[in-house]
Amino acid sequence: MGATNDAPELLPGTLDLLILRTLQRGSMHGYGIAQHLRVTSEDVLQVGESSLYPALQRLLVNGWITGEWGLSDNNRRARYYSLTAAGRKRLAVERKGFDQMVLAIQRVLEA
Amino acid sequence: MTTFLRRVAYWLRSRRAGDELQEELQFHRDMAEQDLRRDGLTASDAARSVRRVMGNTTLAREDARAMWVAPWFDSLLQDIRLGARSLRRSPGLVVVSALSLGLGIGLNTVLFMGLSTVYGHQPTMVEPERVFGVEPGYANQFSYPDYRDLKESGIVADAAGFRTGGLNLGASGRLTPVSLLVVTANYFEMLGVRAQIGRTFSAAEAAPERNPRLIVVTSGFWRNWLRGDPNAIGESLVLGGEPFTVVGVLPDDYRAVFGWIGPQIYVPVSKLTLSAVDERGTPSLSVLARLQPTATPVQAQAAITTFTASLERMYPERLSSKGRSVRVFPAQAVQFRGAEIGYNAARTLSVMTGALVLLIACVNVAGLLMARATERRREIAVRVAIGAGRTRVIQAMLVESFLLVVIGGVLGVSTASLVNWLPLPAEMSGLRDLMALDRRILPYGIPFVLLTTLVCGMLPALRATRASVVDDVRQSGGGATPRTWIRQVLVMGQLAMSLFLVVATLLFVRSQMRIGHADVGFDLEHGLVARFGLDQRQYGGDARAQFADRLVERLSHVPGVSVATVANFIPLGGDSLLRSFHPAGRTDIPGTRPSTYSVGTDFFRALSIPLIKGREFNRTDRTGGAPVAIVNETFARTYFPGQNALGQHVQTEDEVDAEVIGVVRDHRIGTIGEAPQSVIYYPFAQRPRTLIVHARSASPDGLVASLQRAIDEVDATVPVNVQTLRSATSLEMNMRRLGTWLMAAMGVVGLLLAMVGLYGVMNYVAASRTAEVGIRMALGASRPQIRQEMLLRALKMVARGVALGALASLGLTPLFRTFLAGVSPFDPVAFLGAALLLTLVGLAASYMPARRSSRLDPMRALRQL
Repeated sequence: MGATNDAPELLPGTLDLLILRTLQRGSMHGYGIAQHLRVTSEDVLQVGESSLYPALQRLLVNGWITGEWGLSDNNRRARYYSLTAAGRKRLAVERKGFDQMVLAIQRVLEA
Repeated sequence: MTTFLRRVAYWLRSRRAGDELQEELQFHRDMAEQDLRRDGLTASDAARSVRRVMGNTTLAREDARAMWVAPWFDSLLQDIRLGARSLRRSPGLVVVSALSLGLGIGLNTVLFMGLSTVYGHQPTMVEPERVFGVEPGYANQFSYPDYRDLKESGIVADAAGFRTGGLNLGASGRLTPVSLLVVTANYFEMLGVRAQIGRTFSAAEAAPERNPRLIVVTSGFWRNWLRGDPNAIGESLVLGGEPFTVVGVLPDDYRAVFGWIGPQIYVPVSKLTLSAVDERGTPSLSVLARLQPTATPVQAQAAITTFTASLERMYPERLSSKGRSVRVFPAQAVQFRGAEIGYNAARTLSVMTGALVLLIACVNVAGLLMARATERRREIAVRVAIGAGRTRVIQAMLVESFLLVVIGGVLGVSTASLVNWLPLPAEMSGLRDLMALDRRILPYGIPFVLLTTLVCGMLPALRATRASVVDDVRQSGGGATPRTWIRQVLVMGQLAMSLFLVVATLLFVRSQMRIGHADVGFDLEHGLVARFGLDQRQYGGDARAQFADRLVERLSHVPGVSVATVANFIPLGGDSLLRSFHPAGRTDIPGTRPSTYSVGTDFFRALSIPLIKGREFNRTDRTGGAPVAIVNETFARTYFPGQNALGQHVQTEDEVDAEVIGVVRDHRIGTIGEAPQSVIYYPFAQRPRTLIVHARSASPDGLVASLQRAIDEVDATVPVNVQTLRSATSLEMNMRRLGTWLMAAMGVVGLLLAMVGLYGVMNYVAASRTAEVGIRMALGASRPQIRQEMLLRALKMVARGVALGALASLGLTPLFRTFLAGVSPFDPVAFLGAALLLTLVGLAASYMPARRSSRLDPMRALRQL
């Protein structure tokens, strides 16, 4: 995944999870998602468009999110992504998987 | 699936989706810059910083698209566009390959449809895996009483019988012979077949003792003869002078167990339709049995063998199986029964020739593509140099050949529809109905297209991409030694394959010519035959002999008839040979078992079969007279070598001892190509069996109706079918003629294609040697010299191809010995003829290129250096 140099590499597949989680709060455009990830992670996660947009397409293909054109705060056309019902289900599944994985890694590290 | 639909929707609006993504990325970037400027960066610093953070946007766009549309799909479309464009610039290549492949693919498509129709035949029935054909040890058919006992024995769940027959349809005057299947009353119930309109007859209503006058017809017959009218149910048809009621029409997709030469009318077994219905000693029905749910074919075979053995003890008049066991075989094999060798050979031969024709066509296209690839070596080298992978270049070239093949395939499949106009003999017209060209052709056509693409395109693609990049970029085009040896080898292979096709064609044609003039041993041209279905009770034994006498008496007075007589068979008429047992005490003769027939007085004169010794049967050879027999030459030679056959005594298992009173010349009995068989003839009056009247006439064609009228005068109630001897014996001739035509078509197509291939290679050789020829002419070589040298070169190629082909043919032609009557598979005339023909054709194909080469203007040729 093409994360930027100074940001730590994301675990494979976690970007999808993060995007889905972000969109759970409401529909958002691509830049908004990137901003949200950066701000909430306190500048640790800086997702470039070379990984963000392919990930968004992947979620679209699978029908987990939809994209609608709308107007941004500064009155420019932007595509707003929102979760679908399938996306919500997917988020739950991925979240559970991720939690298990983190727990497992922690167990190993602390053993 | 919905994911797939989303992908398709995306692909359809690809361009707009790309624009949208671009806009989205631009928005992203602008927003990022704006934020940075707000943090106090200058505009240019912000832009630079954003670019650094954002990474490679082109890659991002491609990655985003790749999520939707697989990259290979995009590159494939690109190659198709590119290929189509470059082919448009080479119309010559397109035309030659389209014609070659069109012929090859068309021929094979038709061939495989035909083969799958014939060999993949699935008769219509419920649970076909439990239905088996059964043959008793004594013959290939059961007698009706034996069949009935088997059905009621409980050994099998159910059994049904059938027998092919032919009767004239219509009132006398306008008669049409139709093929019919005489079936047991439970036939359709046992198979589980229902009618499309009306109903099939039930076992109860069609019981033989009720003399049921019911028929079920195929949908083809219903359309042709009953106007496709749903109200035709209940109509009456006159068959063999008897009225029959149509009770049902079979479904369109009904397939007869008997195969594609399917009968059109089904009649129940009764006195009316099966004269031997009461005769336990006369095998008359082919039997199909549905096994008990738990029984295996092996168990069933053992049980039926035991059962028939017990019948044999109970009924001494029954034919002896001589300890041979019952045969049980899958119902699908019924159609091939007794002709397996011929069917297998026909399949091998047609698959082989079809594959050869297609291969020859492929070599043509491969040759052209190879020449093209050589011309485009620089282009390919450049593509490889700027980073196209080898697989990608191969893909591009395969796509190009795929386009060529598709054009050829479309042409070929359209050509295949010509099959609808193929002149098929009437007996085989059923085949046409089954293989009428429709969408079912695609499963046959598409594999050929794909296979052909690989065969044509792979070799040129591999070769073109193997070349060293550096050499080819540096090379200035032309002048290099042309690497033509692969093409020359391919053309030699082509010539060898077409030599085989021509040899096979000539063998068939020669066999056909032999048969056309074949001495079948009797006069085919001046005979009429009337086949009777007599009631055993009304016309049994002596009554039958007397009826035969009355008929002969009446018919010999019909104007135009010179001789009338009776027999129980029609030579070459497809009558099965039922009684073939060694004469008493003569089991020492291996292999040959004589057939026995019953014939009337003047039979040999009526059929122009020469009497060699002794006398014909005459009016004194009656019941009560001394038992006599006539034998043929082969019999006399086999059983009485070096002795006079006259006065000797013969006795077969089920006949009384008879004295030989005459010897006649051999004649063909089963097939035209058969080896001579031993035959014993008995007087019909002493052994009346199935009744067939033979009449001799100078012009038999016009006499069918008057013969029918004369028979009606004797007894208008008996079922009879009158036809000329020529048409009664024509099935084999027609099949052979069709086979020869097909083979000849293959041969001609193969030869034409090989000619195109040779022409292409010689042209290429001529073109690539322009410079060399220029130099030699400048140094004083004369035009005839150049031409001769080119021709010699072609001749060498042809000679090698012919030699190779001749060797291969020697190994292959014995495979279809079955079809060759009176011609050896190694017939020197066919081999030499094919070699000569191919040489001439080869020279003709090379003449133009050779002439062009010799007409070069040396100055211009040299300037090309």
